[in-house]
Amino acid sequence: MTDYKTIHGKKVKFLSSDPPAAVGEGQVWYNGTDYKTAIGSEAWASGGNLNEGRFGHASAQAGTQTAALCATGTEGPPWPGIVTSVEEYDGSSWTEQSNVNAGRESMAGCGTQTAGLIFGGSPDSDDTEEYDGTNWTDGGDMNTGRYHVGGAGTQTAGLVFGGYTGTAKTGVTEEYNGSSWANSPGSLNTPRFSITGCGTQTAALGSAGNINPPSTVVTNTEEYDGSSWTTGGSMNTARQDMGAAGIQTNAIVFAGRIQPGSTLSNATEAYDGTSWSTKPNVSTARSQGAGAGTAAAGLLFGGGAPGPSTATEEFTAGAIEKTITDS
Amino acid sequence: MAIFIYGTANNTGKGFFTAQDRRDFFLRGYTGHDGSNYVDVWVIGANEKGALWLAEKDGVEKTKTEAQNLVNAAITLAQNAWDALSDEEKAIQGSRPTAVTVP
Repeated sequence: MTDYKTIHGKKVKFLSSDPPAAVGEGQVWYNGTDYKTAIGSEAWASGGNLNEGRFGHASAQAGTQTAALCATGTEGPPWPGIVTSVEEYDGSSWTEQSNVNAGRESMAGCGTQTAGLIFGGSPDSDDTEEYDGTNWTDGGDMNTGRYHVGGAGTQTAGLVFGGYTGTAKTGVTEEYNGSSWANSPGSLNTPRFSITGCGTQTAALGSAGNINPPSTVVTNTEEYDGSSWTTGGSMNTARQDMGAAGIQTNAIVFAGRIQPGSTLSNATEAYDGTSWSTKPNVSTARSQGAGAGTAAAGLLFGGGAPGPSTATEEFTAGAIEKTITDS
Repeated sequence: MAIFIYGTANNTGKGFFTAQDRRDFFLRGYTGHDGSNYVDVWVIGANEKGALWLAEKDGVEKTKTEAQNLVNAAITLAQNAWDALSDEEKAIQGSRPTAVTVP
C-alpha cells in the first residue's frame, strides 16, 4: 500500500499544537489526535448593514475592511433622490457622521476614513470635498466636470479619470495635489464612463466601463503610471459600475451591471498586474456599490440591487484548517 | 430532490451569512418586493446546512414561483424607475432592466 512517505519522501511531522492556518497552508501534520492540513480559502460574508441604503455613492478607496467610509449617493427614485449622509464602518457596523456639503451621486472617492476625498458626480460635476474624519470642506474644482468617473489615490495625491461630461464620454485624467486639480498628459486609451478605479496616483488601475454610444460594456483594463495609460489584461466579464479593492498589481473587482439589459452581476475577478482570474461571487448582485480594502480583505457596500441596498459584504482570502479523515 | 430552497429572510448584517456558510451551501441573494417593501429573497442550496441556515435566520420558505414573483416585482419597480429617467441619464444607465430569473 502506498503511504505518505512513499509519495512525499518524508513522514508526516508531529506538532504538539496546530500552527496558525496561514503557516500551515499546504502542509500536513499530526497533532497527536488528528491528521491536519490547511488549505487556501476565499469567500464573501455579510458585514454590517448601512443605516441608509444607497447607490452611486463614494468610498474612501484606500480605506480598509475595518475602517471604511461611505459618502452621499442616491436612493432614487424619485430622482435624483440624493442622500447627503455619511457613514463610517468599523468592521462590524456603520455609524453616521457629518453630512457632505453638496450631496451628489455617481462620483468617485479615494483616501482613507480619516483623510478622504470625493469628486465629480451629479449634479455638481466638478465639485471636490475633503474629509478629515469629522468634517467636510470644499477642495479645488475639477477642470472637467463629469460623473460616473473612476478614481484612485489619496487625499493629497488623488486621481480622476474617465466619466461622462453631460454630452459625451471622456478619457481625460486629472491629478489632485491636496488643493487643486491639474490635467495629466495621459488620457484613457478607451474613453468611457462607469469605469472602476483603484490604486494610487502613480500606479492606478481602471477597469471595464461603458463606451456608449452604443451602450456597450467592455473588458478593457488600463494601467496608469503617473503620466500615461497602457493596456492591461482583459477581464473575463464585461461590466460597468463595479466596486474595487486593492492596488494596481493585486486587485479585486466585483458586482456591477452587464449590458444589454442592465443585468446585475455578482461576479468577482482578481487582477495580478497581468491577467484576470475568477473569484467567488458576492452573495447579492448589485450595481454602483462601492468598494474598499485590499484584494485579500475587501469590502462591498450599498448599491442598486436594484433598489437602494444597505447590504455590506466582506471578502476574505486566507487559509483554513481541515482535519483529514478517511470518509 | 430539489436542488434549491427558496425563502425570504431579512439580512440583519454582520454574521447573517458567514464565509463558512458560503463554503457549506450555495447562497445567492436577490432583492424582491412584496407590494409594500423591499424584501431579501434567498436561493439556498438544498442540503442540511442550507435548510438549517434559513430556519436559524427566521426565514420564510417560499416556492420557486413565489420567490420569482417577488423578484419580478422589484424588477418592475426598477423598470419604472428607468422609464422616469431623462434621456441623458438613460444613455448613461444603459438599457432598460430586463427580467431576472432565479435558478
